[in-house]
Amino acid sequence: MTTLGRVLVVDDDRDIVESVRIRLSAAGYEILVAFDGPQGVAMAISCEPDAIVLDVRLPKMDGMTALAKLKRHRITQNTPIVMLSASMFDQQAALLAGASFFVLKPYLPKFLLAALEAAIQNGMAAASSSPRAGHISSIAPVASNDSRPVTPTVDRS
Amino acid sequence: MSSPNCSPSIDETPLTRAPARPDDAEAPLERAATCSSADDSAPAEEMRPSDSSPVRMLLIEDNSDDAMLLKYSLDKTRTSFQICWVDCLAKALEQLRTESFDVILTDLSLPDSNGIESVTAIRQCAAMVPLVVLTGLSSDPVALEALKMGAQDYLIKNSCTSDVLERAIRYAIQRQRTMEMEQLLETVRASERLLARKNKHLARLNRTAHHFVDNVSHEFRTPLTVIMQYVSIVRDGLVGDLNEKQRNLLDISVDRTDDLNNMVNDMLDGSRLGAGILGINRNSCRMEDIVEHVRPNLERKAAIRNVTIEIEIDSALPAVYCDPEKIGRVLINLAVNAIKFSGQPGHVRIHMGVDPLAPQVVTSISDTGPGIDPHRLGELFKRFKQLGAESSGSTKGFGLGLNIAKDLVNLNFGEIRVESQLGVGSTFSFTVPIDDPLEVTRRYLNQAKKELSELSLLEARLDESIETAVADDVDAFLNRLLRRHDILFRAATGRWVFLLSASEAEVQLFLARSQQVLANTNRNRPYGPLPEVMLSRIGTWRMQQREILNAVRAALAPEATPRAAYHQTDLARVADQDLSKSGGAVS
Repeated sequence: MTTLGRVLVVDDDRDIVESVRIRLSAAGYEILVAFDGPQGVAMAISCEPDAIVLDVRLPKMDGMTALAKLKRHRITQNTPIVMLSASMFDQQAALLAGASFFVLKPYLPKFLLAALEAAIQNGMAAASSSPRAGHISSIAPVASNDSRPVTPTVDRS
Repeated sequence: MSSPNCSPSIDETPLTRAPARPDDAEAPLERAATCSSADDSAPAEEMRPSDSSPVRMLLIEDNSDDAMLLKYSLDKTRTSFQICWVDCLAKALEQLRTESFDVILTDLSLPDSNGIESVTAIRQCAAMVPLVVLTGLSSDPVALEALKMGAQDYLIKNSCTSDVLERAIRYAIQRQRTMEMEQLLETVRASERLLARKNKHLARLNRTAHHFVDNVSHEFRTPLTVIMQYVSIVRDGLVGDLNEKQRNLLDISVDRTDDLNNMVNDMLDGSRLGAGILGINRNSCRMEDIVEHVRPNLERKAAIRNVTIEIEIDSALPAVYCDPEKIGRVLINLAVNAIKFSGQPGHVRIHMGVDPLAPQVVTSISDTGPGIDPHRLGELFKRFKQLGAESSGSTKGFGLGLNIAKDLVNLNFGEIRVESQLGVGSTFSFTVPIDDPLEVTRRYLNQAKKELSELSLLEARLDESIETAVADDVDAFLNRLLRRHDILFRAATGRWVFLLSASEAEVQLFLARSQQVLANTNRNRPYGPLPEVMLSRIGTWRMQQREILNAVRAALAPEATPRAAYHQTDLARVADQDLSKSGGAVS
């Protein structure tokens, strides 16, 4: 059968794993699951999924450590990873560490699906060109305009 | 300059011994208490350099010949001394309590004290005054001991020249100053260490608080995630077909879970409020829509408690300017309170109408409850106050509801109030300004008057003609840029005006931060970047109401032209990050 791709879901909360599994299966993905960090890393290396949905808080090895390991490993370094966390504070670190997208729990199903789809597409684009030419570089610098004279308004006290 | 019992005498005249106090006169040992001041004697004055103030010296010496000799030696130096001479320790201590001295010169054997005791007593009384001891022996062990006890130096009587004497005194003063300086420095260093420790402690507390919020977020959001996912999976028919009624109920469940999630966000992200980021999304909206959103919930709650609820909305209400989610929450808070306290069977009436006296919509919620003691009405909106808590277990809460309601109303430039009559019932009412930017600006200026100094207007514009849904995403993004004292008006589908509490320089910071937020947003936006938004500063004003109002009026006028000529910052291409907020219901 044809699928959109194989996705490894790593989360210790089995209800969340199940809800992601149902949602992603319905969307056309083939699903693999792991319930802690070491198991997730091992499966990512042995099964070579097309993408990974990785929770930040995991037993035995937290998601950030797993992310770093996967990004260093020859087999998984280009595998797109979508990080999942209930804490907003994890977003910056996750993206800096190479996650494709960060999804804050609770999330809209369509956001997770869109993130996964974009992550896989970007991953394929990156594989065919330079490693992860993200869209960050396309942001125009703002500071260059800062010294330009502004408006004719005057402060009068 | 001398105290009455330190009468001037010394200098040219032979040393006269004046009784320190009349009643001391009989005491033979204390008979010789005399203070002499060089300044008080005109001829002496002429002999001394007048460019520096005299050194104030306390001389403790029971032998008048020795005292005279010292005085004589000191007179010959270039330094001007103002000498207060006493002949026993008791008088010395008395002097030290009332006068201040630059230096103390003391004999070790005094009529009322001997040896090291003298030094100890003087040091106890005047710890910081430089002290030089006089001794008759060239290697007096007591003199050496005195140095250990804090004397700066010792001199051998009748053997030192004027120069040596002067230098010894000068050095003693200098050494004492150096010591004081070192002590001060040590105090400063100790304070520094203490501050560093406290700082570290605070940083640790801050981290702990952060950590706590993080944990609590997790505890709340994880089950919410499961509920939202499972309900939406069932609702979307992924695990079996549904009929219309079932789908409808699950829609409501998702919607209510979303409300709950918003509340969790608001409470837990209080740290964001502390950081000055507001988390409020004010827009033009209709009170009718807000009521419709919460009505089913209220009717259900009322029915459970056998309370009838009546909602009456005047026809043709104008649009209001507020965050509909927040105002909806205020309505729920107040109405649920009213239902709780109405008694069974009770009746709650909600009425909405235009205020005849001000451009605002008033919502009042009346109950048939026991009423509130008028003396306690003032406490009502304070945190953790629940006046009726003792009445019935089932109505207990954290007492946060009214306090939160007040905060939320104030955030929307409205006011909340309560009228109550014991035994009859209470009416809570709150106001929301109508959707008139000038009125909103007026309220904003009044509310924040004391905290603001300069205000800036900024225009945000979408270059292309963007479809409404995308413009709404941009709207949500722009709202997320707001800090505590900022507001945003939507002038047209693709045009906004920011009113920022910011000076010209701070506007640059705002733009830089906007750029950063936009970058972060777009980085995590799977749908691709948001369309390009042009931000330009219109102007900056001090708190001048009329000028600001005129500027807001001009900026919002439909004919307002693009400000391409002004400072422009293109918030190029980035996107919207947390869709769970802007997106509303699960789809």
